[in-house]
Amino acid sequence: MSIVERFSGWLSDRASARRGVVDVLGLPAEVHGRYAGYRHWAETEARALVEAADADLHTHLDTKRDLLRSAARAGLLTAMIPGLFGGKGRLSDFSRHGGMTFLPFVEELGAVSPGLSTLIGAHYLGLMPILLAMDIPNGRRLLKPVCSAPPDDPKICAFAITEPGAGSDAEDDEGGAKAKLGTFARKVKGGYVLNGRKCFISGGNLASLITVFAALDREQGIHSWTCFAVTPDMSGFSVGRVEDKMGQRASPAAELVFEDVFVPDRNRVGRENDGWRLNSLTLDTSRPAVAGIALGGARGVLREVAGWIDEMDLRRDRSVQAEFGELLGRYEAARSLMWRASGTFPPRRDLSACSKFVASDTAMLIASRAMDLMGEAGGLRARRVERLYRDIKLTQIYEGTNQINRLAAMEDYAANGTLSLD
Amino acid sequence: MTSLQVSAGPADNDEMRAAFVETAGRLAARDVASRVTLLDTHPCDIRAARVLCGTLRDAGMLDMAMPESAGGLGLGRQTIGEILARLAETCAGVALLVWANESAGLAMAAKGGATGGDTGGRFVANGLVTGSPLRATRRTGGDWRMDGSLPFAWGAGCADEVLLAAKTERGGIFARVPLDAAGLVVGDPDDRIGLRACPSATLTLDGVAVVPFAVHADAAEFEGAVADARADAFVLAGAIACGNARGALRRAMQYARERYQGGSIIIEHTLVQGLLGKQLADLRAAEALVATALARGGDDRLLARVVATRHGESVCLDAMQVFGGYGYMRDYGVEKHLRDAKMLCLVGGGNERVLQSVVAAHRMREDWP
Repeated sequence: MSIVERFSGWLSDRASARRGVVDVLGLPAEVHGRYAGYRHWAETEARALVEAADADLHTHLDTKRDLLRSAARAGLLTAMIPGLFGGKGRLSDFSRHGGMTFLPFVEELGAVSPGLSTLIGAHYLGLMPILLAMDIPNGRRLLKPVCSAPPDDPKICAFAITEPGAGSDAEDDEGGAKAKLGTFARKVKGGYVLNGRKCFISGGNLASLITVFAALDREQGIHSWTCFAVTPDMSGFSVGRVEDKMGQRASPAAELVFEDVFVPDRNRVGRENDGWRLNSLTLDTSRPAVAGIALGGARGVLREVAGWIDEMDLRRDRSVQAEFGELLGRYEAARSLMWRASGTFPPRRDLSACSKFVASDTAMLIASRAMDLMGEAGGLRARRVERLYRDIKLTQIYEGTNQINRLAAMEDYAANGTLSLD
Repeated sequence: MTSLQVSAGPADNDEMRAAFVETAGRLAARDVASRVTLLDTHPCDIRAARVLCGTLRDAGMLDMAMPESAGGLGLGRQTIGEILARLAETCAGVALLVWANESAGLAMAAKGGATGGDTGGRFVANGLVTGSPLRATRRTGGDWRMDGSLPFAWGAGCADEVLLAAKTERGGIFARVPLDAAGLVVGDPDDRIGLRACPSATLTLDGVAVVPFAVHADAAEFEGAVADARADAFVLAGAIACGNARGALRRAMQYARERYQGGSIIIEHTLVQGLLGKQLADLRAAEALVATALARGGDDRLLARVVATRHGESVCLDAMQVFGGYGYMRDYGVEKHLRDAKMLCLVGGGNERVLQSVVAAHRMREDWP
């Protein structure tokens, strides 16, 4: 073996060793170890169903139900619900690793399809207010149907805040204060009566339990927001239109209609007027997860592009290397921020918001430039990158548009002049 | 019937150009707008595209580049560019369908490939946009045969003929080939992210007999002729990108004037004004370069395509942000502008490759740029 060969062998060993160390430092080994399992399920079980759902012009639900059944069989619908609440997850995961617990899951599912990641991620988003309210007996009761459902008939949750007249503005403090709300709850004997509409609710037409935010007082607006656990069998509840979306077609988005829906007291989540706090806490927790969905999509794009480069025998083309290297660098930078934001518990609003918009903007840039790199082939459905491009675009919009997230990152500074650069 | 032929005659003065563009706008509003969804299926609905071709043919939009001597309108690049941009405000896919035929028409007009039999809008797909991967050989007796595989022949899914260029031993040839010629197989229509109204397909040629209308004995001369035809196609694609972005921006402006949030219409919000202003600046920069390139020709045609398609995508991405969640839904139309904008970046190859080709072509010229 020549000196050059020996030296390059040593370098490559060093590089892989270094990669291992960096990963362990960046992400706890036990969390890191979960990537492979999620990837296996997403690629072997879910991919074909996702592609069928994407091609479906009529937003049929069969493929989505099949996906949920498959996810339930793999234990994905309860894996991150702490045992305290009846699930299979560990509370210590959250206390030790914070939102990082979700990352292997959202990233690897997102690598096959951000829409798939949203389908199951929205389930966890829906039950998040119940966990964060920390009323354990009531939480166990509310989540029991979800945690004990047989895999062939899985139950999922959904999260309902967006309204036709109040979208992204209901996702930051200042906008929320001025938002034109349209869903209200009235206190009656033994419970509350809900009226109004919610729109773009991910999984809203499939869910068995929906956490709905409604104002108790028109004058107080979001400051009187209260969270309610609504089940579809409640009288007066109905599903309106199911949206025909550009992408993320594995995850349905539905309109929910509430017409004098009676919700018993025991289905109130948290205290009265505590909805805005719960909503903010939920979003602060979920925004790094959205970063994970977006960067999962970018991960999928990079894998597809690498496959294309091999196929076209371009691995030694220096302009291709330079472009791919640029995308890889941006991906790693955004991913580091995502880990940092998700590793704090309770989450920091500024970091959560920054991680969301940086990751989704980066993922969009990666998808777009990857398609450019591939030329006309990049636009073909068979190449999958175009589906990831369409899917990733939504991550710039939901959980507050990226414009709103920039404002959310500055909330503390705007209100108190506090700027943490630590 | 809305017809460009009504006012046909010596064209390409400002007045005539304005009249043609206006007519195209009426056609887009009346005959294209109602079919946008129908033409946006995946893969492309060939039947719907053929019906549309009939409408375009009746309106004279398939004869624009053909010289008057061949029965066409003899319009130049500039006028055709403006007409395509106008169509693209409503549907970039339909504009690209016209583009395929008209960019082929410009190349044929330049190389003497237009004949008297071309009146009546015989649809000729453009097989030059991807380059010239085909080979041609001359057999004993003098007849020419073409072989090879050509991906992304734009418009081939619903055309009567295709314009092809093929390398020979020393130079190359240009020929119009009927799509039902023996030995020519048209693949299934490509299933793409956007521009679905214009069906593209891979052509496979196995000893297809052709009659060239231009024969180049010199390789450099042939490559130059192909590059010139591609550059015209590219700048016209840039014009479509501008029209498409203008359509998206109009929708975003309209939405911002109507949507109330936080007690006022959102166009009153400084954040939204900034976002719309960025789109407007992106669009104006692209339009300016495309207009210059359409008028002057040269390498600016390639640069204009790069700038226009990049800015076009950026405008559409930002337009969707103005809509928020509604923009992602198919009902509001802006998502189609975005899908079309992305595909326009890829027509004929990615932008990076286009830029490399510009510099490569002049790499040893000390007086350039």
